[in-house]
Amino acid sequence: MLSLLFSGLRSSCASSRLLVPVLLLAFAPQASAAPASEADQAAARRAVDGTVEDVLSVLRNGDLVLAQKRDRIENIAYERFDFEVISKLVLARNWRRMSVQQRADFETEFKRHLSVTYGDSLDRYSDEEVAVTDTRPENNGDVTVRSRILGRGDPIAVDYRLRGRKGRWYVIDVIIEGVSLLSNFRSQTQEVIRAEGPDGLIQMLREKNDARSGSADEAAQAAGS
Amino acid sequence: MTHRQGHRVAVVALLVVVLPASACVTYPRDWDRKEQGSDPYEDSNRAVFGFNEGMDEYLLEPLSEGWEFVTWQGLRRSVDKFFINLGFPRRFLTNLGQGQIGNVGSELGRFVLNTTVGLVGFFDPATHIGMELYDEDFGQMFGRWGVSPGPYWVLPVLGPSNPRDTTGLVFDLLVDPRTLASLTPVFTLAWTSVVQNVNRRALLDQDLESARESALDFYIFMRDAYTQRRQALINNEVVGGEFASPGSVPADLYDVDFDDEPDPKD
Repeated sequence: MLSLLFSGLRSSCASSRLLVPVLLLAFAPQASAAPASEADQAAARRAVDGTVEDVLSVLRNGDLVLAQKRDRIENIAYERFDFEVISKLVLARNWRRMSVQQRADFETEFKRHLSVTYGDSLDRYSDEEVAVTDTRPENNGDVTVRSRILGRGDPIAVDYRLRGRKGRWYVIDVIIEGVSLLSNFRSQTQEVIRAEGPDGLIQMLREKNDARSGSADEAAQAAGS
Repeated sequence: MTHRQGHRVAVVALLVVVLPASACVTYPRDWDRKEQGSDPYEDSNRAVFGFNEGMDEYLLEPLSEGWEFVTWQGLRRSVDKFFINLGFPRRFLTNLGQGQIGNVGSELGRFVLNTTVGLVGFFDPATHIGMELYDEDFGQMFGRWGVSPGPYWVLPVLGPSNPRDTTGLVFDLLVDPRTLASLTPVFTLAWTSVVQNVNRRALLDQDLESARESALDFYIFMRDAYTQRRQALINNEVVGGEFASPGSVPADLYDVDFDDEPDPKD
């Protein structure tokens, strides 16, 4: 099982990969249409550019303690990710079998899950740079924006898939070195729903979040004091 | 991916058993008709996965912590590079086998430069002058040739794999300098792989920890990531100029209109 981490992720420099989760957290705005036009692609790219800038400036701000950085990056993420669409895509066909309440609970806990998970790695940021390099229109109107994280080790390829909604562009998937996080989450949630049902899934997420955000807060306090 | 040889942990003897087995294995009848990520051996896979996790907890992790204590980050990176450099014959042959002649030349140049100026590979001057690593292996080459992976399986100690990649792994080991140059290849591969993986484990400790902590089902997390990652590498979508697009994801991954689909059976 280790071999995936050994073989699967390409960087020999562990620390430069740490930025991935952090940047996973953020994105934004402009037009939307069916097959993405040049203008759409430019807009999606601007969204990624802007978000990367915002995230990096928070990370590099020496006046902020860890907890403050986490809060700010969380806010950037909430603004730039379309969690409603993401939740729906993660749950896929299970979505239909869940009640409105269950869906809302899932979305809440899933947002927390992402924020706790990626907040964890904030303090490991060490001056990596991000280069947004290219865009590609997708058949269904989405736009993929390609970036690379440049640190001390090998560069890491990170693609963001964005979808336009009401004139703004939101991230709906992050693909790191060829691994779609959306797909990975879907596989996991399907398994848990199969075994435990939707309530079991929500419960599991909630317990994990409570336990982990508790320990994260303690760590942040320790670091801040 | 620089670290393909990362999971060539010790147990070469095991492969002698596994290889013939993979050649004559009978797949469950419907494995290829199921969705991506289907897993006909899930029960035994999970058992082996559990065993591997235990090995990590009680053996690899303590060893790597000890290693971390007596070494420093720069040294660990150099050790890693040394082992990556040893993967040259594999990368040379498999790039060649995929007709990537430019990469073959680059690999050759890298090996010469890093082995000499780079002090037998502990340093990587080649990358600094723009000669990129093209990490290919036999499993990827077979995939490129159109060989399907077969069902996902988890190997004891070595971790996630499938019949195609396991077969590839045996070839990878056969062309490894440690096999070629040693009078006792099995022994040499075994102990050097322990060093290699303890070192790699130390480099990746925090990533592994956070993956484990965040996963809802770590077994599925690894299965999905392995499957996607291998396919992306075969498509050569990761290294070089292409998008890091997912290699193998459900066709409906980005489709919110699943209302017209039949109910899932379960």
